[in-house]
Amino acid sequence: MVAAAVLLVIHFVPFYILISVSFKKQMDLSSRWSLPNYFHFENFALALEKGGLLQALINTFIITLISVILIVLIGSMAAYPLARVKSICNRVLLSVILGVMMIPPLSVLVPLYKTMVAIKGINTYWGIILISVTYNLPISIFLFTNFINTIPTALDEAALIDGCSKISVFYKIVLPNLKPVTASVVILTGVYVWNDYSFQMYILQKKDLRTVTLAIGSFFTENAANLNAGAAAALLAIIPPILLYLAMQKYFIQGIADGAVKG
Amino acid sequence: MESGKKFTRFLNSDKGLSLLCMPALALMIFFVLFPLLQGIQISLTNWNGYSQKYSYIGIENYKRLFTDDMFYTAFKNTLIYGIGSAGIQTILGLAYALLLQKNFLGRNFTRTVIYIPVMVSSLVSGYIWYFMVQYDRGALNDILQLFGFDKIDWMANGLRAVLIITFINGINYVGKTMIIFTAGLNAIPADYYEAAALDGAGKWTSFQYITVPQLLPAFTTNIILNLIGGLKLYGLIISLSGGGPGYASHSLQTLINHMYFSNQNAGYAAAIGVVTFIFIMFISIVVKGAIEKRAGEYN
Amino acid sequence: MKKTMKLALCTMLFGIIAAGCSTQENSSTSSAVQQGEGELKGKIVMMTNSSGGTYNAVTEIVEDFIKQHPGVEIELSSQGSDYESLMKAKMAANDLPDVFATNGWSVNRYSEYLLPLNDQEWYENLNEEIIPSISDSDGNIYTLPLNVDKAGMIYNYKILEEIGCDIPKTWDDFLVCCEKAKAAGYTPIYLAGKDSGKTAGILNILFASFIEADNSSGQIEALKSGNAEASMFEAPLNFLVELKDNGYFNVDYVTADASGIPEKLAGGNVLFAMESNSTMADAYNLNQESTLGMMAVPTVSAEIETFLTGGEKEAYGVWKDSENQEIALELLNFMAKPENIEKVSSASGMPVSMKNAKEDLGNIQESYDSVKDERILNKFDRECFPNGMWSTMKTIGSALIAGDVTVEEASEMLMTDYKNFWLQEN
Repeated sequence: MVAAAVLLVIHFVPFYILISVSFKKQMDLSSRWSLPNYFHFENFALALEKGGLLQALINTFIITLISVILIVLIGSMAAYPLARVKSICNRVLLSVILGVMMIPPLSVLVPLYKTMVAIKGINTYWGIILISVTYNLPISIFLFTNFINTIPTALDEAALIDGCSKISVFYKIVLPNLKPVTASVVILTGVYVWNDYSFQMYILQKKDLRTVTLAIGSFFTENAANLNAGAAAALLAIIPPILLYLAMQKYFIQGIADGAVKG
Repeated sequence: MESGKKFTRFLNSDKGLSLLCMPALALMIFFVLFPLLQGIQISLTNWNGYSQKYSYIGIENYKRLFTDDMFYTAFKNTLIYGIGSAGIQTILGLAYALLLQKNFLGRNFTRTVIYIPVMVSSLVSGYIWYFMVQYDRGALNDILQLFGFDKIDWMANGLRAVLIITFINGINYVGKTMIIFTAGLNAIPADYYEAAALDGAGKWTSFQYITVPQLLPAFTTNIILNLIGGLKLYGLIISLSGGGPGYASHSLQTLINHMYFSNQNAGYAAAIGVVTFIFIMFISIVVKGAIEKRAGEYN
Repeated sequence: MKKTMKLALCTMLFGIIAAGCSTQENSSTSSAVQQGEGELKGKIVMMTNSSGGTYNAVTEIVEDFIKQHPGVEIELSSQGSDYESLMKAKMAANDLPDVFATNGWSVNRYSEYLLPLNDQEWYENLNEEIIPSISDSDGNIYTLPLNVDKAGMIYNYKILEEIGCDIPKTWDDFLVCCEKAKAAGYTPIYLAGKDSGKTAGILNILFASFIEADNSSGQIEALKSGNAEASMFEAPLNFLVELKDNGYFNVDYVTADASGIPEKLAGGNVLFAMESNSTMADAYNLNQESTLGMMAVPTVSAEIETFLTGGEKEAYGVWKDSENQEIALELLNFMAKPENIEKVSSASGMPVSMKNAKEDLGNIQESYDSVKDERILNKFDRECFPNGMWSTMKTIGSALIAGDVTVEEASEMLMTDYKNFWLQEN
């Protein structure tokens, strides 16, 4: 209990600092530990107006939502044969897919960018969604494959005898059973897509397509940076993922238990 | 009609089942394999990264790697980032998970607070931590001064900067590791422990002979994920040290960015990218193999 | 029930993806210029890296232009510090905005992709002092400069007065000032070394002063003809190390973030900063009571005249493959009007680029007037180095102040890259 309280305090410090900075005026040079003794919401107003944070939240929400749905669908589809058919070909395929996790995104960025220009994917939702989906598929396939391995094949076989085709077994038997691991995939990949910077920066160049990370980043990296407004923007942007996490926490741990720790 | 039947039979075969892989495979070929191959092609040129003109120079870029001090430093740092992060997160994550196994009021709240940084973009959390380690008005230095010590310029020493970044990365993502271990702990049947207790096993013995072996899959997942995460570290370095002082805290990732975009050396950057990819792949396979061998010994 | 849900989900998905496709198509068809009765029609994309007041001024001008040409749509965006990386990717894919900021690289980096602009009406009005820095070897210019980055160094006149110094004309005097300021508890020079570009900026000023301003033995010609020698760089590099060793920089000179510079200058504890004047304007925005001014760059001896460095700052070029060049050129024409030049000039705190525009720089006008007779040199790296050396200066500058390399090693590294880049260019 005491130890947990210590942990809580240690891990809360960065947020405390963030909160204190976000409520201070830019020229307030007092210690970051001290909260301001005045009310100052201008940073938040600035974050919302100049940073276009509201629009950015909507954009990011749309992109994340669609990406995650596709990541779950395509990932679970691919995982089923990979888990059920243990051919050499499939095992090689699985390790290649996992290898994609290890590609440093920056080393493929310029060729990827050229491809996106060629297919007119720059400045479109579908462009960034396709890339987000592709680069988050490996972790999704990894978790789904592990999870399907834990579903007894007896279920599949029974359905096959009832005259289902193998593919319809997937839709009728396996898919409905994937709920807990889906929660893990949603939280893990959702957070990646929500927080991505490199891909979004190159694909989404229009201001009205800007995502949350880009909007916050602009406060920190522009020449006339405003760290206080950046802190305010960061504070606002943390809220949606926290809500998602709280809503799905129960399933999340269960899903991880089934997808990642039962070898 | 005949062909329709054939098609149904095909769908019912293992090959037909593999059709379900197609969308994933298509995406990866188009958006991963092609760019990767193009990257290899670029690594054989002297392209400056933006001009339409360039020429092939063979393996010149790869030769240069061997004599480049910056590459050597970044390579060494990448190892520290990877192994250090994996170590810190695995040890702390397991400790946190064990500590928070007991039910008490506010347990979920504590877990949530520990998990929050995982959900913040690393670039942004890097800036939050910059508020802590900054020399002037940094939160850490304020504490030092409160106790009468001199201020320290935390990130001014290369090795120290690397270690601080590793530590921050570990603390930031420990939440994910904790959750995975928690899930693993929840999955261990309680009667294992009861049986062990009946046999007179102490807490440490049952930890050693029940908890650890049962958690092996969780260990594998954690170590691999954290290792890859640490080896690919980017945003934190950019926002905390910018690769400095000098080039002392660059990772291979930030070095690629530096060579590609700040320096006009896309060919060389691409070569570093290829080497990084092979390197990360190699380490992951070695580590995974080692853990699985350990697992085999237990069973 | 579940099936209907699934179906609805898929339909929604494809709907959105298809919608993405169709908007893309729409925009490409509407972007073709339709010339009806002399009225401009179409859509252009414009990108910049400017921020703060300058960006607001440019936005205002663009909005005014749209008001006058209701058929024109302009999509303006600022990419902040990621601008250069983004533009490189865009050049690689030969997919550039119709109008874009050339941020000092109109000749060296972007000219391959830009339209020559010598035939434009506004060309005649350009200030003579800006033309050399934006011309290539054939005298072509590729960009419309809106203001001039006429810069020396920033200093705090109140501190200088307090420690009893005059504005230093030589580096020896400069060192004396630094020593006195240090003794009085001030920070002699502020450097935000986390951004290696800041260290490169100091090197650029030192090189200009030690090599370009001196030029007693034809160093400029030697540098331009591929005959640089390592010994040329040793004096300025040594001087940088001397500043560091004497403790004249702020304590956190290798880790300070560039975002804090205006705040530090406004705080009134810093004597010198080798920064552009927009930083001074930012500092005044934070604190009207600041006592900052601009001074010429000192030289190695009293016989050599002090100087300012000059070049374009906010400047825009037109993509040579743009489908809407007519609109793009008309927009440049509009931006070049005196009142618009004046608007950008005051917002950025930098002098005007056109002879027919008046200057009003507010509380920093006085500083500019005090140095108006100084001679102006082109920025060192643009004048004397082959393309690509800026990043080398960043690397060796930051390695040098971090103590990772010696002066000899640093000049060796400079020479290696210099030779490579020079060969690439010639």
